[in-house]
Amino acid sequence: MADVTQETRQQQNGKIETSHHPETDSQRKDKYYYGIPPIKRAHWTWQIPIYFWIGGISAGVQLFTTLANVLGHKDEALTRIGRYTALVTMILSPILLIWDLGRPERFYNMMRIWKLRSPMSNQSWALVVYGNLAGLIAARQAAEDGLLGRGLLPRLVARLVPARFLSVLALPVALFVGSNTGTLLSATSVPIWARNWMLMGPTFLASGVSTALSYLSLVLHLGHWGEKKTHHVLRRAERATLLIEAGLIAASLVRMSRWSKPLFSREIAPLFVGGTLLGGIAAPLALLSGKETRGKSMFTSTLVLLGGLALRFAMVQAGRKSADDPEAYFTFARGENAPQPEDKI
Amino acid sequence: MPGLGITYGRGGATTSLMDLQNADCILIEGSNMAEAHPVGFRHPMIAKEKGATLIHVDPRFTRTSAMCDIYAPIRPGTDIVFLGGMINYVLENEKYFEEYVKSYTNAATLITEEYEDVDTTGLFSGWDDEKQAYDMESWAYEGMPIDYASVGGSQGRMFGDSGGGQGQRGVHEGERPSDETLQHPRTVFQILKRHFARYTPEMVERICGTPREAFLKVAETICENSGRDKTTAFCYAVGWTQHSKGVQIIRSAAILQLLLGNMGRPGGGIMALRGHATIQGSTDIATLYNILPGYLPMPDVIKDHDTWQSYVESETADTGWWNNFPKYITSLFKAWYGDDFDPENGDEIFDHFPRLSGDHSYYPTIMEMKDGGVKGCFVFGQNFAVGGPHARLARDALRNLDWLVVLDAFEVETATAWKLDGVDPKENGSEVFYIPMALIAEKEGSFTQTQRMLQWHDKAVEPPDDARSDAWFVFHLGRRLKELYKDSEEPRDALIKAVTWDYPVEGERNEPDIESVIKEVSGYTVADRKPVGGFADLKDDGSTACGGWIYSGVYADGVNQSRRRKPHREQDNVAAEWGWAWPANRRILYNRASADPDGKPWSERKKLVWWDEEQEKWVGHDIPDFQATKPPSYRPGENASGVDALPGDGPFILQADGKGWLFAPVGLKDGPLPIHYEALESPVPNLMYSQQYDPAVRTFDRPDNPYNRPMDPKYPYVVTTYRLTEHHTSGAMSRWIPWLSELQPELFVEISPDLAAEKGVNNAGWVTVETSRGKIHCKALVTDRIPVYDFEGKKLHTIGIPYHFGPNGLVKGDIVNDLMPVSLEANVAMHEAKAFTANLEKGRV
Amino acid sequence: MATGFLTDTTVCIGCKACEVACKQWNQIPADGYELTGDSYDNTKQLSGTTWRHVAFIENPKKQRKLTGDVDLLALAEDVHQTLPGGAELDGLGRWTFMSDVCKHCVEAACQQACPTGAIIRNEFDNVYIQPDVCNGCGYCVPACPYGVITQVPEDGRVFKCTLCYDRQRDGLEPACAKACPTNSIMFGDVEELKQVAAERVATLHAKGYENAYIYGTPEIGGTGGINGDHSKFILMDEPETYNLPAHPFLPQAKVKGGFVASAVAATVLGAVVALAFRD
Ligand SMILES: Nc1nc2c(c(=O)[nH]1)N[C@H]1C(S)=C(S)[C@@H](COP(=O)(O)OP(=O)(O)OC[C@H]3O[C@@H](n4cnc5c(=O)[nH]c(N)nc54)[C@H](O)[C@@H]3O)O[C@H]1N2
Ligand SMILES: Nc1nc2c(c(=O)[nH]1)N[C@H]1C(S)=C(S)[C@@H](COP(=O)(O)OP(=O)(O)OC[C@H]3O[C@@H](n4cnc5c(=O)[nH]c(N)nc54)[C@H](O)[C@@H]3O)O[C@H]1N2
Ligand code: SF4
Ligand code: SF4
Ligand code: SF4
Ligand code: SF4
Ligand code: SF4
Ligand SMILES: [Mo]
Repeated sequence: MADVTQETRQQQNGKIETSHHPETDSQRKDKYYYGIPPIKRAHWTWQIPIYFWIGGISAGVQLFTTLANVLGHKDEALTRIGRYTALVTMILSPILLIWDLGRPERFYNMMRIWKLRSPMSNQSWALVVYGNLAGLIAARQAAEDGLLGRGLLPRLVARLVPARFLSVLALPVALFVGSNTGTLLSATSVPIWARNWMLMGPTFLASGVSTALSYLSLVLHLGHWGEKKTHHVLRRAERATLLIEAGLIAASLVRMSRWSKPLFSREIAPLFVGGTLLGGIAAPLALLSGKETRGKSMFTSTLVLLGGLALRFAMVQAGRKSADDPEAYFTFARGENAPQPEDKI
Repeated sequence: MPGLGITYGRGGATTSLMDLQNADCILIEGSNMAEAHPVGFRHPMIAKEKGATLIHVDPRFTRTSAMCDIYAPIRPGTDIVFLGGMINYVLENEKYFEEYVKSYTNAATLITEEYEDVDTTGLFSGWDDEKQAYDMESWAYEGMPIDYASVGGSQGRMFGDSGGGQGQRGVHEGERPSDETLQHPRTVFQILKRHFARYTPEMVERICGTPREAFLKVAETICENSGRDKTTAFCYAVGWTQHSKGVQIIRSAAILQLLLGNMGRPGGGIMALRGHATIQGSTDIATLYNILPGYLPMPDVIKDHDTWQSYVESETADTGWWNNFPKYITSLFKAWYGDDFDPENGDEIFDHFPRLSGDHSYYPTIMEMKDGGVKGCFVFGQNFAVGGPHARLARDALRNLDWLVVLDAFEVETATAWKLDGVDPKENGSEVFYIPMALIAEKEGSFTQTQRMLQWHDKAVEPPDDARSDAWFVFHLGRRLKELYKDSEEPRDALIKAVTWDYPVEGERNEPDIESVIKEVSGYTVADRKPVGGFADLKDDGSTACGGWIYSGVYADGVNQSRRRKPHREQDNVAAEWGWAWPANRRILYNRASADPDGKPWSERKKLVWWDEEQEKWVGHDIPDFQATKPPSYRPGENASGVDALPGDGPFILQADGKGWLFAPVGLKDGPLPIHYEALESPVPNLMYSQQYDPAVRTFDRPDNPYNRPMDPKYPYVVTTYRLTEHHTSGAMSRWIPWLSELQPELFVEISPDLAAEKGVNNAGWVTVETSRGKIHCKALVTDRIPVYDFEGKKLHTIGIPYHFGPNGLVKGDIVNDLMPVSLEANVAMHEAKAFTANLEKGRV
Repeated sequence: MATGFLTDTTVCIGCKACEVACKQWNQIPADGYELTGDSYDNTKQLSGTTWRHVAFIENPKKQRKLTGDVDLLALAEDVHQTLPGGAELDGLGRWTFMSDVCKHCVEAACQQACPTGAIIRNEFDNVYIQPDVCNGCGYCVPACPYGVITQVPEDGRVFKCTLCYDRQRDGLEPACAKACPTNSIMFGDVEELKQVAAERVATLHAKGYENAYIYGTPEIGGTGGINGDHSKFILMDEPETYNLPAHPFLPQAKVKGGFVASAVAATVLGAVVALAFRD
C-alpha cells in the first residue's frame, strides 16, 4: 500500500464514481448539471395528441368540403358528413383540451384576453370562432335534415343561416386550427420543436389534410355513400397530400438535424418510423397506386388515419425526450438558433 | 474554555463577530465556520471583500474552505504540531511583536529551577506515575510557591467549559524575578523557544500531512498580517475542543496570538465560536455542576470550605481581579436567600449549602446511571441518546432509571429510549414523563451568544396546547416545593425555605416574568431594590444582591440593556448599543493592549482605546477593559492589593500579574505548555514523543466502553464527525422539519475516491462503519474533498461523518455516536468526537 | 422602478438559507427525502415547489484556483512531486454554489405563452403569476427557456418565484435576500444592480478572475432574445455548468414566421386539393 503511485491511484479512482460535478468526473454517466434537464417538459397527457389529430381532421374536412362546394361539386352526403364532422370535432376538441387543464373549471379564463404572440391563445380563440361557425352550419344542416323537428325556429334556421358563406368564412379559421397545433409546439424552448419552427405548422396541416381525406373516404365507404367522383377526387387528393406530407416530414427531419434523435429512439421509433412513415405514408401510397376496391380503400384510409395519430403522439413524446436531454438543449442554445447579443427580435 | 482562561484571564471569546471585519487576515482552524456559523461568517466575508486574506485549516475541504483564499489540509488531532510549528516559525524568524511581547506577556518572567524541558518522553517535570497526574510545583514562577487552591477561585473551576480567571497570592510587581532582555535561559521566552524548536515545517508535514508549502504559506501570511499596523484574528470551535487535548490546542493558538501581538486589538483576538444558541449563557449562569453563576467556585468538601469565612477567604486572591471575590459571592447569596442571609452570620445558610463531593460531570453521571447509582433524571433540551458520545451506553443508562422527565418540543430519542434498540419495553422499569416545552418564539428571554452578548427576544406566539416555557416549569416546581416544605422544621430544609422565589407571574398561564429574573441577575441594592450600574457597585457587606456578577449592569438604570436594537447604520463599528455584552458591555476584551505601554494607539489604523492625558482617563470606541483612571505610568506600591496591585501597563487584569501567560505556571492539568500527542485512538504512533496520547486524559476502562488500541490494524481509519448547515446537532430540531430534512435527507459518510476504490464502494452506495463500541450503516459520498494523508509513506484515510441522524423524525439514520468512546479531556472533561478510529466496509454487513 | 436580483455566486456559501426561507415564507411543501449523491444537492432543481434552488458544483481538480487571491493550487501542483511519499493535495479545488431562481426575463417567454393572461408584469416589473387566474394549461412550462416555471400536479396550476410580491408590497425585501447571510443575493432597483454587477465583475477581474461575468444582460452573452433578465448572476464558469443555457432565446419570436409558413402551406394544400377536382 505504501508506494501506490499517482498513476495506479488514478487508475483505481477511474473506476469509482464520485459526488463531483460531472464535468470533473469522467465516471459519471450524467452530463452537465448531474444530468438534470435544464428545461421542463410539457405535462400534456394523451388528450393533447388526440386533440391535435382531431383538429387536423377537422381542418382538412373543412378544406375539402368547402372546396367541393365552391368548385361546384355537389355531393349531399359529403356536405352532410363534412358539416356534422366539423361540429363533432369542435365539440370534442374543447372537451379534450379542458380535460387536460390543471384547473378545468377555469377553462373560460382563456377567453379573458387575446394574445397574438401566444399560439395557445390564438388556438383558443380560433376554436371558439370555428366552433361557433361549425355549430351554425351544422344547425342548418340539421334543420334541413329535419333533425330539429318542424317548429318555426328550425325553419328559420334552414332558411336564414348562410351555410355556404359561413363555410368559406370558416375555412381559414379551420386551416389555422389545423396548422397552429404545430406552431404551438414550435413556440417553446423544446429543441426538437423549436428548431423546426417553420415547418411544424405546415407538416401538421398536411397531415391534417391527408387524415381528413382518409377520414372522409372511410366514412363514405362505410355508409356506402358518396358519388363516384367524390371517391375519385379523394383518392387523387390523398395521394398528393401524402406526398406533400412526406416531403414536409423529410424537410423537417433535415431541419431538426441532430435534435431529431428522439424520434428515432427506442420508445418512439416504432410509432414514428413504423406508424407514421411506413404505416401512415409509405404503405398507403403504395396501396393507392394499385386497383381500387372498397375494402382496400377503407384499409388504406385507416392506415393514414392511424399514421396521423402516430405522428401526433410521436411529436409530443419526442418533445418530452428532447426537453429531458440537457445535451440537446444546451447545444441548441449555443448553435445557430441562439440569438446573438446584437440580435433585435 | 481554560485554554483562553489560563492565558488571558477569561474563558470567553475575546472579540466580537463584527470586529472580524477589521481583520487583515483571518485564520479559521478547528471550525467549519461557513457551515456551522453561516450568519457569523458574513463578517469574514465582508473582511474578505475589504481585502483580508482568509485561511482555512481543516481535515476536509468544506464550504468554508471553498470561500477561503488559502486552504491547508490537516490530519485530525494534530493541530498542536501545526500551531506549534507556527510558534516556532515566529520565534525562529523573529516575527513576534517584540514590544508587545516584552510588555504585555510573561515572556521575561523566570521559571523555577525545578522546571525541566520536556524530553523525548513527552512528559513534563512533576509527573506522578502512580497518581497518573502532575504535581505542578515545578512549573511555578521563580520564588513564588504556588497555592493551588487559590488559583482562579479553586481547581473546580477548571472543569468548567469556560474557565474563569485566576489569581495568586503574593505576586507583586518587582517581586517577580525577570529578565527584560529575554536572554536568561529560564525566562519563559527561552523556555518557549526550546520547547517549540522541534516543531519544524518538516515535522508539520510529517505529522499533520500538511504540505510544507501550504504550511509556510499560512505562517507567512499570518506574520505579514500581524504587528503594529495589521492584525490577524483566529476563529475556532469544536474542531479544536473535542479532542483529548483540546485545551492545549487552544492554548497553542492563545500563545501564538500573544506573540504576534494580536490580542485586545481591533481585527485581532480569538473568536471562540460557541455552539447552541445560549451555550455561552448556560456556562455563564452556571449549568455546570462545579461552578456558581459568574464562574464563582462551588464549595467543595476537600477544600477549606467548611465555613462561610474560610470559603470566602480561601477563594479570594491577593492581587488581580479575584480580590473582589467576597463582593460577588456575598451578593449572589443575598440574591438567592434575601433577608435570610447575613454575611456577618453566613454559616446559617452556608452550612446547608451543598458541597462538591466528587466528579458529577456529565459522563461520570451517565455511567452512574447505567450502574444504578442515579435513580431519576430531568432532561431539559438535550438529546444525548443521539448526541452524547457512546450514545448506546447513554440509552442503556436511560433505560436503567426509575424515572425520567424529558422536557422537549419534539419526541426525541432521549424520551423514547425505552422502546429503541429492539429492547422489550417491559424489561426496563423506568417511568418516562414527556413534557412538551415552548420553543424560542413562544417565550421571552435572553440568549448569550458566541461573543458574550446578551440579546433579548420577545414572545411571538403562545405555546401550543400544554406546552409551557422551561421557566414556567421550574418556577412552579419550585413554588410547589416551597409550599410543601413551608412548615418543615428539619434543618436540611432550611435552604428551600429560605430561597427567594417571588417572581411575579403574568397571563392566564401564570408564566413567570422573565425580566424580573434578569433584573435579579443584574443586581440591585437591597435597601431600595434599585438596579446597580455594574459589578463595581457590588459590596461584600450584604447591601447589594446580584445573581451573576459578570452580567451585572445588564439592567442598569432599570433598562433591559440586552433588548437594545439600534441598527448598525446608526452607530459606529463597535455597535455598543446593540444588545449588551459582559463584562460591562465590552466588545473586545483586554483592549488596553490596543495601546502601547504609554497608552498611545499602536497605530492609527488599529486604534481602539487610549489614554487621554487631558481627561486623565482611558477613552476610545470600546469600553476600556481597564481601570478607567489608572494611568499607563502607574506602578503598584508594596502593599497594594486587588487590581491596584496591577501596573498601568498590564492589560490582562484578571491575571495576577496583569500579563498574558505564554507559559502557564499553574492551572492546567496536562502541562504548562502545549505538547503534541496523538488522539487517544490513533492508527499511527506519536512521531515526536514516546508518550502516545495525553497522559492526563481520563478514560473509563469498562467492558461497555472499550477503546480501539493505538495502531490496531482492525481499525485503520480516522473518523471525524461534524455538522452540516442543514441540520442541528442531534437532529432533534431539524429532523422533524420537512424543509430542512429534504436538504439532507440521509446519513452519509464522506470518503476519498482512493478509499472508495480500495473498498469498491460507489458513490451513494451503502457502507458499514464499525468500532469496538458499535457499527452503523450509511451511504457513501465519494469525494476528493476528503484528502488522503500521507504518513511515513503510507496512505492514511480519514472518513467524515455528520452526526445528525437517529431513529425518530421525518428522516432517519443510524446513530453515529454509537461509534464513539467515552473519554475525558483532563481539564474540561470533553469527549473526543473529532478523532477516533474505525473500520469501513462495503455494503451493509 | 423595476426590481430584481443580482446573485453573486462568488460570495455564496451554499448555506441554502434562501431556499428554506423561500419555502417557509411561501409555505411550500418539501419535495421528498432522497440522497442524490450529487455533492450536497438533494433538491436538484427549480420546480413548482422549489422557487429558489442552490446548486452545488464540486469541482476539485479542473479549476486550479481557489475563490480567493492566492493560487494555492498551482502551488500544490509542484508540491505533488516534492511531498514525501508522493502524498497528494487531494481535496483542494473549488466548490461552487449557485442560488438559482426565476430570471424575471425582460421579455418573458412564460408570460407571452400564457393564454389566460395569468402571467403579468406587476408594478415592480416582475413576472408574476396570478394564482387565481391560471387554469393550468401548462403552456408556459415548455416555453420558459430556463426551466423555471413548473406545474404542481396536486394543485394543477403552475408556480414559480413571485419575487415576493406580497413582501414588496409591504416594503420588505424578498425572503431569500433577507435570509442570505453573505449578501450573495442582492435585491433592488435593476438599474442600480446592473451597476453593482459591473463593479463587482471589474473587481474580480482586477483580482485575476478573468472568467467572472454577468449572466443575464443583453450585452454579455446571448440573452439578446429575451432582452436580458431582471435577475442576474455573477458566474465564474460556463453557464451550462450551472444548468443554464448559454444563449436563451424567446420562443415566441418565431410565431409570426410559423404563421406565414403555415399560410403558404395552407394555400398550396388548397390548390393541390382543388386540382384534384379537375376532371
Ligand atoms: N448548521 C448548524 N450549525 C451549528 C450547529 C449545528 O448542529 N448545525 N451546532 C452548533 C454547535 S452546538 C456547535 S458546538 C458549533 C460547532 O461548530 P464547528 O466546530 O465549526 O462545527 P463541526 O462541524 O463540529 O466541526 C468543525 C470542523 O472541524 C474539523 N475538524 C475535525 N477535526 C479537526 C482537527 O483535528 N483539526 C482541525 N483543525 N479541524 C478539525 C471538521 O472537519 C469540521 O469541518 O456549531 C454550531 N452551529
Ligand atoms: N459525534 C459528535 N457528537 C457531538 C458533537 C460532535 O461534534 N460530534 N458535538 C457535541 C456538541 S458541541 C453539542 S453542543 C452536543 C449537542 O447535543 P444535544 O444538546 O444533546 O443536542 P440537540 O439536538 O441540540 O438537543 C437540544 C434539544 O433541545 C430541545 N429544545 C430546543 N429549545 C428548547 C427549549 O426552549 N426548551 C427545552 N426544554 N428544550 C428545547 C430541542 O428540541 C432538542 O431536542 O452534541 C455533542 N455531540
Ligand atoms: S441558526 Fe441562528 S445562531 Fe445559527 S447561524 Fe443561523 S441565525 Fe445564527
Ligand atoms: S425565467 Fe422562465 S418563468 Fe421566469 S420569467 Fe423568464 S420565462 Fe418566465
Ligand atoms: S399554466 Fe397558467 S400561467 Fe401557465 S400558461 Fe397556462 S394559464 Fe398561464
Ligand atoms: S423572491 Fe420570494 S418567492 Fe422568489 S425565490 Fe425569493 S423568497 Fe422565493
Ligand atoms: S442564502 Fe445566500 S449564501 Fe446561502 S445559499 Fe443562498 S445565496 Fe448562497
Ligand atoms: Mo456545541
